[in-house]
Amino acid sequence: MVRKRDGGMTKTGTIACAALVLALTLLLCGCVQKQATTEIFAMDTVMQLTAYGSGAERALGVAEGELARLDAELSAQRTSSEIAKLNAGGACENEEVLRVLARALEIAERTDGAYDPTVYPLMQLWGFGTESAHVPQQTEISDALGAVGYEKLSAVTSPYALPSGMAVDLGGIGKGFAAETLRTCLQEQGIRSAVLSLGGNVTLVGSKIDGSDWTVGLQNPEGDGCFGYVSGKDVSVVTSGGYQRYFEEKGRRYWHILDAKTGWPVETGLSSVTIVSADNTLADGLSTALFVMGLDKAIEFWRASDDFEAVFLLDSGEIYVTQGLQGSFRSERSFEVIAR
Amino acid sequence: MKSRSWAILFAGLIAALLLLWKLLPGSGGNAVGVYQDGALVKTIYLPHTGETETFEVFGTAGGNTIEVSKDGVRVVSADCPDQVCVAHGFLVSGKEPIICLPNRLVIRFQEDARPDGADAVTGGRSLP
Repeated sequence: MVRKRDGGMTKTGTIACAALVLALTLLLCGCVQKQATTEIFAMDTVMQLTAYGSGAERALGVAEGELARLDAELSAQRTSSEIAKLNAGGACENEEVLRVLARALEIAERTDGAYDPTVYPLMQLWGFGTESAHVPQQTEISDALGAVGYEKLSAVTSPYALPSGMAVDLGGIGKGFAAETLRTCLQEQGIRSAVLSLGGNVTLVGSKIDGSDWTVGLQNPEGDGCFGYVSGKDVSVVTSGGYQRYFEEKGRRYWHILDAKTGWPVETGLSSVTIVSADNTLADGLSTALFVMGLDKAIEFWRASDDFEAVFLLDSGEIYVTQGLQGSFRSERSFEVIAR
Repeated sequence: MKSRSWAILFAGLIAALLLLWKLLPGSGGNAVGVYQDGALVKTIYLPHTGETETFEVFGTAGGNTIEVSKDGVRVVSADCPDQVCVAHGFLVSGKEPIICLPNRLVIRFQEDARPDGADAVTGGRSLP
């Protein structure tokens, strides 16, 4: 074979160049992951699901179906839901709903009622999120308290019915449970990277497509922006705060997080509590529970646990972060790390 | 290599880069999507240079009138009871999308990144 000495491209050279260009194209394209985003209106809020990778769009379609099914089962406000039937005195045999109820009671027991799914009669009395929201009379609150208290419920078995006059609202952990279901649903379809934001209740599936951690901003209760950021992968980040839903009467603010023992909105000096945990349902329930407990009790509770970390924002603006988040929490403000 | 061969290689590389550019997330630029119940009903490209335009999108609580002008995109009137979408004002890149919960309407940048780099925000206010 005779090769040209002047460097002019031979047939082999042209093929090699074409192969190089093709390889480069494929390599570069391989680095680009497909992204799909969908917005869904469910559980009285707007949810945004973003998934990455081939098949992301199809996977989100399946996830949407799952969400619609859960919403129809768990919403206390929908008269046809399993929970509404349970609240109306009926018996429930739906395995999934009973599983959520059992988890609700487990978290209620663990937090000594700081999270209590039986506050529904009180929520209805106060009317949070409705046009009829108002401060009830103390006598009305006292009456409603008679039908509140997780300890009055028996262990969950199938079929299950509530004691007469009692009602449950699984809204406090419903989004967490939904996130868990969606995460499993997406993973079963081969999705390894996704961000699920269910009305601000964030679940991180896997890591970013480049393998790095996701970053979740923690809403500043006063105005726009975030007061801090948590980075991580394969965790849920859930925040509860009085600022999220409230009404004002005679110049006073009344928020939706109630003390199940007094029937009044809790005031503990906390502005928001953020829970970071691999257990989505637990994170959802504990964000409410620790807000109700107040800072000191919440720290005590955290020290006795090993399945979550927390960020506490006080009304005064001070920030406390549990030790496990020391390397993954950042803020422009100063913050104190709570040692275990 | 002959100059012709270089030209072939160069053209090939340009083609590869163009393909990559089309596939890369974020190449949508300033495209704003108007979504009704999760379905994209209209795409608006910003900045809008022509005359101010308005159009209506209908949901279960009635219509939302959306205005597109040189200042951006906003909901100027709505039949919903809470008017949160109207109070939102103009859509701002990197900030919250315009949402009308009663009408299941979302107006957002199709490819948007928050200036603070956050992938999501937890603890937002509940929508009425």
